[in-house]
Amino acid sequence: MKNQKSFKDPIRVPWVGAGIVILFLAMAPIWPLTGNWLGIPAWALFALVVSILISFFIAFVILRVWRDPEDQGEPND
Amino acid sequence: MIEALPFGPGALIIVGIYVLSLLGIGFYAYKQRRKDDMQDFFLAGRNLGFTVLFLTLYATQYSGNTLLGFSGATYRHGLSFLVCVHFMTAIVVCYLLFAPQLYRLSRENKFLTPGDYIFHRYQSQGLRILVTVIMIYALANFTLAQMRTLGTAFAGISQGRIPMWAGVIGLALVMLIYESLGGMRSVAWTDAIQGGMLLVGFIILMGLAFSQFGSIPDAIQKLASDPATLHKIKPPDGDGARNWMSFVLLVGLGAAIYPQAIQRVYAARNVGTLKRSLAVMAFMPLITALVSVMIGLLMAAHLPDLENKFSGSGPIPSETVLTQMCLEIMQQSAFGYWLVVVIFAALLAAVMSTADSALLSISSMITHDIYSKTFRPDADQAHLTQVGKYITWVLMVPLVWAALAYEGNLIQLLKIKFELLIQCVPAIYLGVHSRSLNARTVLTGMLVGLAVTMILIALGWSRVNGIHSGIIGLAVNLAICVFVMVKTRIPF
Repeated sequence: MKNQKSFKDPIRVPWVGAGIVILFLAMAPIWPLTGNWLGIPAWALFALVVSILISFFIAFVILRVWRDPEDQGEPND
Repeated sequence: MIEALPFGPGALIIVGIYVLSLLGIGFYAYKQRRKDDMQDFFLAGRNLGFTVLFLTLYATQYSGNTLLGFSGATYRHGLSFLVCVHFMTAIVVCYLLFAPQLYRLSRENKFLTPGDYIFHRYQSQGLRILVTVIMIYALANFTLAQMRTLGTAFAGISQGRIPMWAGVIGLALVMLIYESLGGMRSVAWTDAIQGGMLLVGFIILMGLAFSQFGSIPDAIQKLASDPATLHKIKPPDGDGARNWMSFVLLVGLGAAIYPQAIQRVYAARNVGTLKRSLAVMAFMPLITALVSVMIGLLMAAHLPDLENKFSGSGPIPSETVLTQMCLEIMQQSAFGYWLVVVIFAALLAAVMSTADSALLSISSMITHDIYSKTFRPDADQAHLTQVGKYITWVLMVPLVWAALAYEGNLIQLLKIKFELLIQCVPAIYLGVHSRSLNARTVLTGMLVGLAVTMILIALGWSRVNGIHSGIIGLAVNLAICVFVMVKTRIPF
């Protein structure tokens, strides 16, 4: 492949893989959280917060870690 | 129950204008075509910019089921269906596992379909055909489900003024005409409008739900105070938690390799466009699936015994909770009435945008991967593009028939689409990263995975300890592939 040196596949970056695994485990409703937070069951609110974190994490990885030599940042719309 | 919504002729006129505008877009897309070849017809010349690419990804991924099905499932299962926010987010995570490599390869090798990548990577026409057939099966199911929802949504809007069969056939014809005129360009541009309407619809729904039915903490308090509904706020038990994880894997891994999703990766104008579109998609579950969950929860507190009530044709299904909510809103004011009209137009848009994308994708795979590669390898591009258009029209006949008439076990069988589709996961996800995998191993893994899945389903074990049979099949499939990868030790 041409320009392989400047291409960075995000999934080959160790902390990205680790982040995905940690967040995937965190989102599962298996943690011993009881009671309500802000009027919402703690387990559900925690799962939702993890989902929001995943969205930000993935957007960050896509925009900042994924690198492709073709990406010149030119207007594209 | 959708038939119970009191829509007037004005609503039908608005929907009519919207449908006619789709034909106008189709004609404009036809004028904008650059070449009479399959790259231009099926991938819009690989020139989709950010706004169109994002909205077509969004409109294709979120269907009528997101509005009706997710809110209904939350009504039935309560907060445990919050899993839908996770599995819709998982789809974007899964894109990240293969899209960066696949996009580069698609540019270098001018891929048109997922089968092109399979053949490029494994040099096996047999594997290409197996993957294509599985994908066509999954997509035909998807399209059929959308056509059935189309009929229901149309019945709601027309109020019996136009027979349901005429509405479904009419809307199918509109889809066929704009799709035949402009191919992916038409589909993506109409998706952009439909995706925009869907977004507006969800934002309106969120506002309406809170203003009409109170806050989520109030709903939760009400559910907690009634022993009959208390289970709807409890966390899933052991089986439920395993089912949660299994659901996230099943939909995340499966929906990311829907052929129409892969073809949108191919169709991006450049890598920057693709990256920005996927980054925004990561947030869509929070303003789409989450809204459906909130509606289901609010209605579970507001109408806790809905499923015990009966309409003319039997018990009222939980999928009608959104309709019930709309009914109450539209009866209160003229403003509420017109808001509900917009929501139903958005529902129609969600269904049509998903169905047209799936149909175009099926047509491209039959034309390119099967007809061209197997029967007419010497055919020119103009001929193949024409064949692709004919195939789209021919395919629509059984799909419309099944949507209108068929009620048998086929529908149950079709529900297992994801279980079968995810058997293609090693071929794509591992294939882009590892040189160790060969066609024979992938083919063996897929066939064993499919066999395990089908046997479990045939034995009535569609879930084992909460885990989907397809995930068990995939585990066996992956084990075979990873074993060979480790044994051959070719570096990544």
